[in-house]
Amino acid sequence: MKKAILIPVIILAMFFLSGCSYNKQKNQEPLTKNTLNVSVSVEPVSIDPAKCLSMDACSVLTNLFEGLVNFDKNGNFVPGVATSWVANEDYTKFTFYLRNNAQWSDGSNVTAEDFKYAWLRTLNPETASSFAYYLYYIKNAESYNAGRVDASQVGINVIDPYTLEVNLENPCSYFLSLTTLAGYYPIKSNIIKDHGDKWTQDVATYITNGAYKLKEWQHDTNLLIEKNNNYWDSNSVYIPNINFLLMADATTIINAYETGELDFIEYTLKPDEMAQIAEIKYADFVYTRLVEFNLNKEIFKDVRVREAINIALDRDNMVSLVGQGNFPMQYFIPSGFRMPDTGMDYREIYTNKYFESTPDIERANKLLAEAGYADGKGIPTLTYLCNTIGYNVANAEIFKNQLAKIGVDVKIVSLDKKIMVAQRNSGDYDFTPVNLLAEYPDISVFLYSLRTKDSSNYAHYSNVLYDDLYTKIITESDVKTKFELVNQAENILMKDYPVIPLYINQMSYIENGSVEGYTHDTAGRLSFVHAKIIKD
Amino acid sequence: MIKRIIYNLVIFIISIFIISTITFFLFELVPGNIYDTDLIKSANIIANIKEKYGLDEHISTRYFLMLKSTFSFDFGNSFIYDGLSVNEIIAKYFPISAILGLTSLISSFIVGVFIGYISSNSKSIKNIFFIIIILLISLPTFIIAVFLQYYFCVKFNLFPILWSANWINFILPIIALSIYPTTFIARLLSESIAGIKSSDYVFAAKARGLNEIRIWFSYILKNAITPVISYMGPLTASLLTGSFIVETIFNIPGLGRYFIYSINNRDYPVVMGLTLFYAVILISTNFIANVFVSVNNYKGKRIENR
Repeated sequence: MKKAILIPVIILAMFFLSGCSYNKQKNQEPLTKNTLNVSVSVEPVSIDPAKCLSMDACSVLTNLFEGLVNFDKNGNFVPGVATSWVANEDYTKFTFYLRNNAQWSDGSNVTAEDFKYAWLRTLNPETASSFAYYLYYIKNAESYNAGRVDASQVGINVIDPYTLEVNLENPCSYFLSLTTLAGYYPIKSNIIKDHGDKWTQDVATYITNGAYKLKEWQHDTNLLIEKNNNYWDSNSVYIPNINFLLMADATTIINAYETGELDFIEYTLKPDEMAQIAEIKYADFVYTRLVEFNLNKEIFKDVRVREAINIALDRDNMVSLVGQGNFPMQYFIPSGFRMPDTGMDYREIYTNKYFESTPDIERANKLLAEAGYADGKGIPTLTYLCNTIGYNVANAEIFKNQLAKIGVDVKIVSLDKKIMVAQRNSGDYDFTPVNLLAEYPDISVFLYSLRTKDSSNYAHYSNVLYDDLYTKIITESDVKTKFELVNQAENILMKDYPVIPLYINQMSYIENGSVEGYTHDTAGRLSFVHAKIIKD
Repeated sequence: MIKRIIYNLVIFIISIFIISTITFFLFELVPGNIYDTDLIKSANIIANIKEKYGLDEHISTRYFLMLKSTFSFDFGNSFIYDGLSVNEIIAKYFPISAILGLTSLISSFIVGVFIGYISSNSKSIKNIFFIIIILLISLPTFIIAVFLQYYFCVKFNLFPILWSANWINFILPIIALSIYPTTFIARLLSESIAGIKSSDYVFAAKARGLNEIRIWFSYILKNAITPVISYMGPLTASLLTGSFIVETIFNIPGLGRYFIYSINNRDYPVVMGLTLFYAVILISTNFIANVFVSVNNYKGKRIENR
């Protein structure tokens, strides 16, 4: 009998004793800090630049690859692989002059061919890359991607190994910003021909040209990168190793930060979760949270109804409920884009607010009455279509409760992310939320999706004046004039109300003070290229 | 015996056929596809994706292709994870889930049987265990996992949080995974023993003056263990295939997570491949458990008939 009880006790004791011995080992070895442990992403589906669309995964790639140009701390363009570049007068042709000391991690030279190879591969219909869309700016790129023309007709010309000429489909003044995106990174020619889709799975074939190279990728565990000594500017790269830990569970991430196993957290935790363990820091990067009206619905044809709904919302209350890092939004274009010369932010120049952050129920009721819906009578129950990710459902509840005050009844339909997209495609919704962020670092990015017939124009908004202004904006090179045009476009939007601006979310992160010199660019990507470890 | 094996094999093939067909059509009915995401902004790209993954083929063609891949067990590459085939995913992640599962299985069987055995012997021990068992059985696994991690990793700093494929990483997950089956086995066994102890043939054996130990092992335990063995079949399958919750909390790169991710992302080859892999494991473990039970019963009958 007694023996019977003893055995499980012994087994358990063995477990605990073994745990203790581990602890001793750990305390004996002093930590020599040459690796920064970072949590920015769960397992990335791909580290192929042609297939990288999620911002967190792009943060990993920004340390591994280098495009033609880079951003400095203030958001100005500085040389990357290209040392200089020229555009023609109407921004339809860009010529890049590449440095001849740029090298791949295997020691071979980065040439203009590598860029052409990478871009054409992304556009190749067989690659079926989702990123191809962001290369449609190049002449005939869309036709090639749709299988209408062959690769030789795409406007990418290699003049000589170190000169790359790009012809664009339409004038585009911000093409340089686009070249900083992952899909515009070079790929070593022919590496994929020999290894196919598997090239990203093997350290030997995953050759990069950035400050770091891949050392180890244990799926679902970590992605370890080490300094690339062949990088042309490797003298100003200081951290020997960066370990991206691929973790999904918030509690686990918090616990790992508490035990010192993590130094830096971004994306993988919500601001409120970060606030539990450290003081939140904010990057100069935002996304805007909006709700789009479905303008195809009869009820929303009257602008007074849209405006009434907009001013009936209590944004202060909303922000206090949603949590840290959020600010009421009383305009359409968020801050984050600066004049290169004066450093003045767009929102510092155009300080106007289009409505109050507190509700104006009286006026909302008046507008509804004028439109023939006094006290909300005659308005059908309106459907709010969202997915179940993140704060979406909480936002929907707040939205619903606030609109009840003007007699508007909202029904929330929250679905699995894929089902929600399918449902949205069917057009059966009255409201749907969107997050707008700078997918590419240019101020016009926020205006993009409200162009007539744009595929992400879920409001089905159409205004000729707005479309014309947009065309002017993307061909305007003078930033001051451009900002002015952007403001005109913003004025149109805030008169037409195809969307309801709710709040701005500033990107938050925490770090334990062991690193400095990292940067966030306006597209939200986190770079450790010139960062330093300052304490153990 | 051979007849029995052939019979089971036929049942096995029919089950796999039915399961793959049901999974295929259920997945067809679920709205949303891999290309239904805010990130894709052009109809060209959707057309390219459909073409690349054969999604533009007629449903009957896809069904027969699916049957072909089912019976050759080759589902090709994941739609989502670049350059990873379904078989590679299984080969890479199943061993981790399997080690974790098997260890949990063995430890919960041993500990569970001991507790069950002990508590059936003494009323007071039974009462104490009963309270503990009720407490533990009603605790969800994720609570146990979070509790273990917080106290043993953060507070006492005995274990690392990050996964390094070291044996030390397995201990807490094994405990978290074992608690429920252990308590379940213990309760099952102790109730079953109680029932058998008061049965006629045990009294008869005692009356014949048989050795106490022999009565325990040949009469009581042998028969009482039958429900436990039946339970071991599905338990083995569920432990082997990995627990999504435990894997996520302890950051274990196991198979359980991939199953959930693939469904969420409509990664059709991975869903099909993993479902069938799970089905094979479930059917096989149930079959083995059945064999054990029948062998055990057969011997039991022989003893009774003597």
